[in-house]
Amino acid sequence: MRRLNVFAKGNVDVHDSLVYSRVNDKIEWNGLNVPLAERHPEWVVRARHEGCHRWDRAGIPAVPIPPDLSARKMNLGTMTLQSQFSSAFFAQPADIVALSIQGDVTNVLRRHRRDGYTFADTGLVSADDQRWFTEECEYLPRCTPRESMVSLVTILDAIRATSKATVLVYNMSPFAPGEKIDSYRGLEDVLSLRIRAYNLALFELANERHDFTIVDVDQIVARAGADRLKLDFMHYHREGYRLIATEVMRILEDRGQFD
Amino acid sequence: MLLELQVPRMSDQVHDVSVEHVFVEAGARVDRGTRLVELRADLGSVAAQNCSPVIDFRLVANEAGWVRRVDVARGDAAAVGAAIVIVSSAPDEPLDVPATRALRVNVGVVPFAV
Repeated sequence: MRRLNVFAKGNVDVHDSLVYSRVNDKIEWNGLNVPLAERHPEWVVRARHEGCHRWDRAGIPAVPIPPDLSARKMNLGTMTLQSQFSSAFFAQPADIVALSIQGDVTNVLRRHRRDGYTFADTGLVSADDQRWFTEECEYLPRCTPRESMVSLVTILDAIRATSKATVLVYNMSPFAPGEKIDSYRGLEDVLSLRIRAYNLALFELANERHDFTIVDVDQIVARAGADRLKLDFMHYHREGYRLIATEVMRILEDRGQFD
Repeated sequence: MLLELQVPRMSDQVHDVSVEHVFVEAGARVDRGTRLVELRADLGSVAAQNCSPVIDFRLVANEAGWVRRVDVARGDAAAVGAAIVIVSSAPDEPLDVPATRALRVNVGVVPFAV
């Protein structure tokens, strides 16, 4: 059996399409192994997943964890301090790295006012941690598409320094079920506009450097019909994850991964 | 003419929402583009998963009028289809008649507020 080592560094889109999707305690989609078993049964996927709140706190390249953060022992769910400051990407070789713009589109970071370091927190932390955040830290604004692409370049350069892994970067479908807009007055900050700007920035970066491949989730969803594929603006039904994983399979075949 | 701001149906799975922000108060003039309310739909009750499917969406007026009554506050729950704000086409119309129709709005999914 030949093994395809996949490192999924991201959130629900890369995890649920490539690793598995579990809804109401039931595995709805079993990741890239499903199309792989159909098309290349002599291969099996070994998938590692690591959360990625935002690319400027992805732990690639690694930096030391600030001591007072580490000392707090916070419950950060999948956004562990290790994943934020020192990614496990480099721990074992990967054939494929999957990233996504989703974190940069939706998430914010906190900054420690005195020491200047940034980090991601979650709603799982204790009340004491929340108090410390309020006293010692501030929220940073959401990053711009330009800032996000700078962060992505940093990650790409760090990966390329030591690895020949195929790097896939998911864009997003801007469609949100239930949304109805014929004028953006009062809605200048909607996610659909932000997603479109990020998708465009990603295309522009891909034209400048050719060391990553876009997984065009926007096109996949548009072709198949967003209404039937999407639960909300970033969660998909089983068929949505199947189509995304199938497209990843097609890309890998085009790249000669299974030759 | 009285108009109702109704909680829209974002998807078949959403039956109720919580009120995150109310931008208007009784007596306010609204025009096309006036932000009215932000609501939150938590789909985790029907599709529980690690990354909770929660969406915030904003209702923005797509026609002009006067806010006559706001029936919700931050933290309240509201059912899909419920009327949560009453708007009238004139500032002093009586309120003791049924609304003629729903207020025309645009609905957009917005980032979570911090």
